Amino acid sequence: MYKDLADEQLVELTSGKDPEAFGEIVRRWERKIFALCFGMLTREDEARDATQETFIAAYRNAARFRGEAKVSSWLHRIAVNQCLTVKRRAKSRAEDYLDDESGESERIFVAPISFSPGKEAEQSERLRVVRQAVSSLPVDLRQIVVMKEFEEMTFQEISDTLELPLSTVKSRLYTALKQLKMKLDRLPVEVV
Amino acid sequence: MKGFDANNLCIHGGDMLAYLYDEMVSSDREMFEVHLADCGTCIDDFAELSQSRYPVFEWKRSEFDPLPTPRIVIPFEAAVSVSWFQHIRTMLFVRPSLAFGGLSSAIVVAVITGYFIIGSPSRYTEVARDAEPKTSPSRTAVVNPLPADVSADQTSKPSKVLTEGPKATKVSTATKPPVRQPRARPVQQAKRTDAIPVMSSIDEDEDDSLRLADIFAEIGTS
Repeated sequence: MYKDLADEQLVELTSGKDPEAFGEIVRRWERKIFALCFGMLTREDEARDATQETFIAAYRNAARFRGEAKVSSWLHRIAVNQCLTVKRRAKSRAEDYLDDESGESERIFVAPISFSPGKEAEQSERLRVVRQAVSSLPVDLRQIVVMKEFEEMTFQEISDTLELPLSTVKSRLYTALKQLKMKLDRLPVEVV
Repeated sequence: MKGFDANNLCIHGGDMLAYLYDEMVSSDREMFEVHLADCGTCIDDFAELSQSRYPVFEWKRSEFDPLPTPRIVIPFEAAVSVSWFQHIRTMLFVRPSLAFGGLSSAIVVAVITGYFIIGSPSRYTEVARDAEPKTSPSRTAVVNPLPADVSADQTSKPSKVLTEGPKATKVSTATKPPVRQPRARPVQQAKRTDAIPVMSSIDEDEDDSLRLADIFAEIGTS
């Protein structure tokens, strides 16, 4: 019944207290939102939490959705806000940890030698560097990289979702990839 | 799209991303590939973008793709946390009769309160005006006391003395030192001489001892 309905209609039904309609929204968007959160946060556990929180927040605020924006835009905005909240929380926790254990926390980022035999370790280290580079991009650029690479959205879809001109989307992605290249060059992969 | 790359001066530079992400229609794609084979600037740009794109793609393939989609659990009952303001608003909007009733009650209460606050001074004034004559008898008793040495005829008819006003005053002024004259009208005073004195009507500046003496004298004579 719900599969034929548009996202906007489903949100309208949700605001009229129809949980099944929101279930359909979740089914349609969970993978994409999870991808966005994973790309933004680079950690699976945090991404899961952020995805969960995104949908809970969307359900709570379904009545406030006026249909002026697309449901995809609305969900992405909530997801990005959740990711930023999670990041801020994690940063504050890390700072507290640094205050408590001055310097010792650095050790957790270094993979033990016994766990990195040969190629696997090299791969793991390379991915760590990529994560670090993506994480250091400004949010507006990072969001577009993640939407393009992880959510596999077209330029037009990103443009519609973020309500930005197509040229701005392409320009931001271009800038992001250029900055990423510079960061990756600056952070050489350290083979353990 | 053209113009976002300051380094790529080629007129086809703007199509680079569409080509990289395979979002070109096939005819445009063939044309761009023909151009790419001859344009060094575009080749360099394409290589650079591919180099930065690939690690992200690799990261996604190795770490994200194997992950199962998380199971989203929405606590439908708990998720809807309505604030107290929202609660009241909803209640009022759902029941307009209740809202109307509440508003009417508020207006009635306001009108009654207003009546008591605004109307009270005039009421008190009326009460004070009614009470004013009552003060006359006591004042008469105090101000115009009967002297102890006045003849029995005069003392036995105090009302008559008072009714005659000026005469009585003459008698009293002859026997007693001058005392304050009552402010009340003499006729009314005479009518109410038998009224019980009210405590509230006693002036603070009056001499109580003098009045008590007169009362005792009056009791003694009657």
